[in-house]
Amino acid sequence: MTQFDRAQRAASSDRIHLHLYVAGLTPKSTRAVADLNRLCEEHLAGRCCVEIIDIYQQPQRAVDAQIIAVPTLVKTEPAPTMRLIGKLTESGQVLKSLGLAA
Amino acid sequence: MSTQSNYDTRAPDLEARLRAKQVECASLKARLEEAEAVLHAIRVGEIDALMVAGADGPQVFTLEGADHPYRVMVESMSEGAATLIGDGTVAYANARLASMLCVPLERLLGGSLTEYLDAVDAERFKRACAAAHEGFQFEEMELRCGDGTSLPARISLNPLPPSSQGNGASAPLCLVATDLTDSRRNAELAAAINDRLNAEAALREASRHKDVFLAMLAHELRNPLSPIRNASAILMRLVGSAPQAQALIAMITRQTDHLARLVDDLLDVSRIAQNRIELRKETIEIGQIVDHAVETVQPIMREKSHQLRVNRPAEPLYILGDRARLAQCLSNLLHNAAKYTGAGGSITLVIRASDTEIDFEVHDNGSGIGRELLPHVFELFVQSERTLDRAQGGLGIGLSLVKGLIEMHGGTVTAASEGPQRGSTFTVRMPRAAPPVVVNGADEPPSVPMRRVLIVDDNVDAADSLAQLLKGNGHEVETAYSATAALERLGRCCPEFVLLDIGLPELDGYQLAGRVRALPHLRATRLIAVTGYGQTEDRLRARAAGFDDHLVKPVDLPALDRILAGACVPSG
Repeated sequence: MTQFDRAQRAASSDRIHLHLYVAGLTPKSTRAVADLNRLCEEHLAGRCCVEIIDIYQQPQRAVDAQIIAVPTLVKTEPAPTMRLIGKLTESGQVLKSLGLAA
Repeated sequence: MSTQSNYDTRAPDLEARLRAKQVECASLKARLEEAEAVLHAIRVGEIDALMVAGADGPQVFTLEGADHPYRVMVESMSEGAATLIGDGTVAYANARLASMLCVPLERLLGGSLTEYLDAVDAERFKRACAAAHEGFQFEEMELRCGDGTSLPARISLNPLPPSSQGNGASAPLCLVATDLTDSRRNAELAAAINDRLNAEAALREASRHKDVFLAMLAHELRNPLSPIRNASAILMRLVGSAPQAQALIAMITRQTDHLARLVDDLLDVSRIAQNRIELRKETIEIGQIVDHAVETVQPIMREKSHQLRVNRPAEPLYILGDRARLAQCLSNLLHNAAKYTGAGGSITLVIRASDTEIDFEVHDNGSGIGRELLPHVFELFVQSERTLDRAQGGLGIGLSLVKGLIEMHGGTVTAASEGPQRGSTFTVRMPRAAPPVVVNGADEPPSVPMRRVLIVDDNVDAADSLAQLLKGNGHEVETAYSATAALERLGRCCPEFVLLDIGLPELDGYQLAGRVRALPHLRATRLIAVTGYGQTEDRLRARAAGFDDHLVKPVDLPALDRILAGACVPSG
């Protein structure tokens, strides 16, 4: 591991890592992206790393993460891994489900 | 003891097993909750795609309506799109493809695209379709449209994932057709623009060659004039008392001056074209310019018995400009009038002044200017009536030169004529300047003390004639025809002035100047550069090389006198 990688890992260790799996432009996927952006801005500003994965473009990642239905939001860090399937409209409910409620 | 110990170890074992069961239970509960969450999300319609494992890898199933955005995208894009099945039957086509082909969409569906290709392209298309099952293909083709026109297009073909429908060669293909009309036209336009740019560059280059050639030509024509002019001055001094000789020498002088003026015009015109002319501006009373201009045209007007009248206001009028250049302009206009006015004709120079401008109008009652020529009279090499005998002579550069010089002064020049044989009027309009604050010291020729002068020039005639002239004025003059001879001469004597031709072979004037400046006993010697081109850069270079002054060939004797008198000559 290079020094850079170590530094990066150290810096990001206390962050919340969220992966949102979507299926291209489908209506519920686009709405989930919008909902997640709003949630992060309003409740997790500066504390979260979001990655959006299109299962059309990266099917293998969806398989590896055992994604069944889309949209699915996965919290990988901090442990434990939590997943939330379906809509993300209710921010409070989402945070609670992911174990991130203040 | 042993049973006791057995009992003691069994109790913790049970506890551990209980704990393990509890953990297992919690894990099962979590998995169950997750499975329930998925089922719930599906049931209430919160998801719109499912991921399933297929025989050939993961597949995505989108639910009804989820592909709506893609449909909109495909229908609204500017490319034609189609899905081909079997041997090329169109199973789906977007509206754009139909409009590209100028056929109704219904006709397109179920048909084959080969209907819109000629035989050769149809074969290429079939081959491309066959190859597309292995991977992406593209071809450029001419589509033959329903309305009889043809349309250049790039056809790209992609295999749809084989697992999604059927298998092997019958797998559907995705076709995208891009209209190349615009990009072809753009490429043609770009090529045309490029051609024009190249042509323009070639013309500019040719024009630059012409300017360089004119400058060289004028320079070469000018060189022999110095010795001729010097020689006629000497002759006048030697045999000037004989009346017949006097007339002949006067003729030589007149013709030489005429030739010098033509050559100078040519040189000036090429300098204006190359933006390499500089003005020495000062406040001038117009009388000085007018007198000088009139003086230069006296000979030709006398010859043709012209009547010249000059009408000017009595008050002194000033303009800011280059004395010599403005006189040159006026004299060119008068000369032009004389040239195109028959014997005994009349020429009038009228000067009018407003508060801000001064007009110089040159009227004649000569051959006039035709309507079609009038807009072009100031263009280079334009002349009226190019007769075979070229009775009028000249090069057609005088007026072009006037226009260039007057415009450099911030003035304008216009031509007017009622038509052929009805005379012409040329009007120069210049901004009027305020009178100078102090006028002192008239331009009297300086009295020149006897000087020791060395003339260095590889043109033996030029050197000798100038030497003889200067000797005639009482100076002590030596000549050297090469740089080597000059250095040899300078090694043993100490002239006050060295006139140095810049264009010497072997060692040029600049290098020679450097050598001379290195000689300690010549500290006080003044070095005068004599060049053919009176360009600013020549002057600056001469300065840098250690010259004190700079003269342009043919050497103007009053200017040389001023230098020899020790007067400071401005050298730009």
